[in-house]
Amino acid sequence: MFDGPENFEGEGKIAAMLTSLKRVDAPGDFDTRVRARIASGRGGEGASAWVANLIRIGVPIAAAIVIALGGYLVFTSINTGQDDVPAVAGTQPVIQPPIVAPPTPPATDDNQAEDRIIVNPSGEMMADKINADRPDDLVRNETNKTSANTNKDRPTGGSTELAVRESKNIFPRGLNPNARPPANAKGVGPNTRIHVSSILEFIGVKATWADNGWRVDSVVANDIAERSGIKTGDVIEAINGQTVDKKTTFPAKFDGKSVRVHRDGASLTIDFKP
Amino acid sequence: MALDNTGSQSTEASHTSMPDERRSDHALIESARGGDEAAFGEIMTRYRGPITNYLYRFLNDYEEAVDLAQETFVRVYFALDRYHTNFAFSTYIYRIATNLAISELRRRKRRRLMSLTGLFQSDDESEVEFQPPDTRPLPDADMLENERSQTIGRAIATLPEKYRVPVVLRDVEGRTYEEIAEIMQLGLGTTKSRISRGRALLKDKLQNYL
Repeated sequence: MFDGPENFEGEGKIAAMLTSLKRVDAPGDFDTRVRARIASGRGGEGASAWVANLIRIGVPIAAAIVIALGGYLVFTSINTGQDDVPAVAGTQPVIQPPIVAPPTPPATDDNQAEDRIIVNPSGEMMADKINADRPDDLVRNETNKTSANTNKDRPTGGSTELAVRESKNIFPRGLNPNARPPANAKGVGPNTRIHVSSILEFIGVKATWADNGWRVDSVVANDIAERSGIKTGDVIEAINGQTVDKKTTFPAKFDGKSVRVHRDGASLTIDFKP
Repeated sequence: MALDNTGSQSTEASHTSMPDERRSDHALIESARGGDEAAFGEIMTRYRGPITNYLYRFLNDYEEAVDLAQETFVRVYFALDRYHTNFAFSTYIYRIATNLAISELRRRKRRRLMSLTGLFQSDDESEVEFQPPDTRPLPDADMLENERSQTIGRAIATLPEKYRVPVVLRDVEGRTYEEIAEIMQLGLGTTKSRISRGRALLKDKLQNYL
């Protein structure tokens, strides 16, 4: 039906052509069929179509969400399993296969690396570059030692380093159980010094100040002092060559080497035996 | 916006036979809500022809058009309580029919995509023009007219939905621009523009018949 000015030439003809189309009518049993559909109690195909659409769209979306969620959980658990100490420690220990020692290789030129196949504790073959100029027995011993330690200490596959590495989990400030004390904690620093009495206590000597040095009142059994040969009654005159008096201090990074004591009227230098 | 569509039914009167006793659509709906089956029957009598014809021209498939027209009335019946009389009933029922037809078109498109055979099937084969059985020998003039009608129907069916709906409603069903704008929930200017654009597209396809 056209009732206005043409926007383009022939618009009226097109409209007239469509208007002139022969009309079709509903079939004679139209009302009966509609009433039958209504009587069958369905809200038309609407409800079923709605359910079908919901299933068609909802199921793939739900599946995608489940897959994504599962993938995320697996990814998270893998990461946690690698980095988190408790997660590794909590896993079942794996029965370690025996270490297969490689046959002794033929002698090769100096500094030439050769490939060796080593069965690592988790049972997989790995190639290891070993310097050929190292003695074979040393290499084997080191390998066995490492493997023995690994077998004993490590609860599951993966390197020991991974197992003991600090967790990468991010904790709120102040709650990290793996936090190390800060290097510049209050009272401790590069210029901090330790009093001589603390040094003596550390090496296992109980001493009091005498006029010419620190007199040893007792020696802790099996400690550094006793092992080194310091005895009760000795008077400690110097440590590491530095004469000590009542207020002598040492740097916090103390490295004990020797002590000079006065015993039986003579001075005696004793080296520490750790 | 028309509050009742009794006045606009005059356009339909030329296409469909209307009963002598004229009650407004809204009065019939109110009666149908109260359980008056005859009132709902009267609604069907008024609109089954226009809706079937509209859907037929929209889908170019008579069987599908009849099926969707029936579905339209079933939906109207089950939604009687939710119908608001601030809309013209004709707008309401045409909107339901349009939505069903668009859904059907999209379903067909999906089916065509999913079906391997659909890739090799042309529209001409899948959408057969409905022809009522006629035992008389077909005169040449009728044959030409049928061919022309089929060509126009196929041309309409190739229009994009957004042009097909307003063009069919306007030029085939004779609906007013305001009513079409209500059915499509568009502005009046956009509706007119789409009708004109749809006609222009048809002109390109039907050059031989102009």
